[in-house]
Amino acid sequence: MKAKVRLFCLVLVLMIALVPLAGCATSSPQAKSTAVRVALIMPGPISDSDWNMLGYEALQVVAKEQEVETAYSEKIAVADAERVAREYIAEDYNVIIFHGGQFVTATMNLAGEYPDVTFIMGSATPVPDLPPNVWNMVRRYYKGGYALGDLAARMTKTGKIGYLAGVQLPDFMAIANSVHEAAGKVDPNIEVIYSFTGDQNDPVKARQAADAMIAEGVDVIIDWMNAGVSGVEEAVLASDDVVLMTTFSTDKHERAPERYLVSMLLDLGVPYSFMVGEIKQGKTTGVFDFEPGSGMLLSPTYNMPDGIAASLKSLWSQLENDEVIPTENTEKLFDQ
Amino acid sequence: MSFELLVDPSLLQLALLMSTPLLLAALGELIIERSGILNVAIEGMMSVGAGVGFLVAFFTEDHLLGSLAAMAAVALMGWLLGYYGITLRANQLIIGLGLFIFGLGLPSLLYRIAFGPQMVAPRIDLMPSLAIPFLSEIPYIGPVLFDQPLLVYLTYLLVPVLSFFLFRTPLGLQLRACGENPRAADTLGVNIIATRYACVIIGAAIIGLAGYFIPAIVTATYTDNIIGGRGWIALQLVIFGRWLPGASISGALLFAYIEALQYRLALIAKSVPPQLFQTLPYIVAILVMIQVYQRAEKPAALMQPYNREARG
Repeated sequence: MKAKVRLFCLVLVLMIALVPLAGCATSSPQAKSTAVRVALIMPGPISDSDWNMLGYEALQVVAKEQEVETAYSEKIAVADAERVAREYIAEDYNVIIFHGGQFVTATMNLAGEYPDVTFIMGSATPVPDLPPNVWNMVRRYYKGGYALGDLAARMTKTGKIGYLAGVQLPDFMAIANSVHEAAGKVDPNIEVIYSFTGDQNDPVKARQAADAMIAEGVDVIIDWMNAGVSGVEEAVLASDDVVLMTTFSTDKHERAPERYLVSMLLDLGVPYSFMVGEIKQGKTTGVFDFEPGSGMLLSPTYNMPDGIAASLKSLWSQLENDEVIPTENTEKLFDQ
Repeated sequence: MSFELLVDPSLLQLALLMSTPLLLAALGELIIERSGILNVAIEGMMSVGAGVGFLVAFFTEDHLLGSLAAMAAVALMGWLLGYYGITLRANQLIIGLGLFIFGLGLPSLLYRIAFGPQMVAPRIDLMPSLAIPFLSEIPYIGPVLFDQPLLVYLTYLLVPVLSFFLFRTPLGLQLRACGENPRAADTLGVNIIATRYACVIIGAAIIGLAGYFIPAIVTATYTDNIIGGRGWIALQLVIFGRWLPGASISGALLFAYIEALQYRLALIAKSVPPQLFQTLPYIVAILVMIQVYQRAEKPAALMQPYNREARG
């Protein structure tokens, strides 16, 4: 009797286990959709009021301008990026945008594996041997940094300007170098002090690093933090001396109205919509230079004389038209 | 590198400021561990304190309400820890780790619900500094010690108060007995369960206030992972201080000082990779811990659930 019960249970378990397989065997293959479907993979939350929020906003632009279906995932660590991308691909998303320069390896790994899927990735410099199904958005931040370095050099009263970023990435080093180059052309005696806190999104570290700069006599800080910018703002606001600052990504001047000079704005809808549009036309590879005039723009100016504001806008226009071409040095910092 | 850099008043002032959340969280944890409960959720608790406190402070424009909300929210987490660790006698390490992960995610969710994607991050006004008349005007040490936010003074005053309570009052003795020999304390009429619950809830509330310190006094905003590992440092400070309130001060000050100093050093020692300076506070913490831990005597009944019905 016990043996019959055991046999019955075994048969029941086997039947339960085999039903899904039977279903797979008898179902007809799903027809793959040919419409462009775009998935955006972001490293942080879209509530960061910075890089990831811009990615989210850009995705809305892509959906509207290119009339494509979109989806997104946020707070995806580098180690999880490939897995998340595969999940989207399994759901017939055929354009995957990796929002951030930390996903280059993941992109290159997946590109070879999925030749029918087009990937968009960002990087500090052009990636060599670009696969035929990868678009490369190259961040030319250093060009914007040149303008901000020129501005800071004209606004400083102590002769010391600071550049503060989180991670020591090649393009962030290039910004420090272009700031130094621009400041040197205004006044060779100006000292550029830089600091890397190790985290783009830690406002406590940013506060401490900015405090250290201010203690050294810096009175204009070029901030290149993401969510960590609030720490820089509070250091500037807490200073007994007047310290001014700039930032990038979004216009944050209302958080410190009397301290912000200008923000270098990033309109990621421009590159992403362009590249998706090209992909829709069948062009699945290329390089997009993300630079002044192509997605990078200046916010309104604040707390500066009209003459300096005009000079800044003029220089920006020259950068847009390649009339001024800063030196791009992503290898090492200017004092090394 | 000059000696003046090491004793720069602005550096010392910042170190004292940044030592406060570490010390406050350590004092809260000390109360909990002295009663015999291990709480490894400090990082998550501080995160909840920071997030909830920031949200309430933003919408009410009142730091007192923000502080109370932070304390209440984390006190609730403390009650959860107590329920699982004291009543259900579950593994306190596992529960603590679960609350740590929960604590990291909850404020992020609440922030998203409250604000969603925004072009400009919401900001609260920082708690102002309170310069103590006459004392703050003493050359050199005046601005360092006596021109700080109120919460800094309260935290450092809490140290002798807590020390007196633990070692000079009957209630403090009962509390310590719960963590050293609960069975003996029980035979003398101490309610172990109620005492441990009270310690966990009060200690957690203090930890919540420590978390709120960051957005209220340092950053004026909330971001994910804003606590940045300080909860774990606070856990270590309890051991560093050998479960004594006063001894935790030196650990908090040392860590905060090294953390503030690293940025000054990075500005002048350009040939040294900044990443090395970023590891300095943690290297110092590890080296100190190696020395101190050998002599540290934890409460004898730490992490041991108390069962009144059990034999022996």
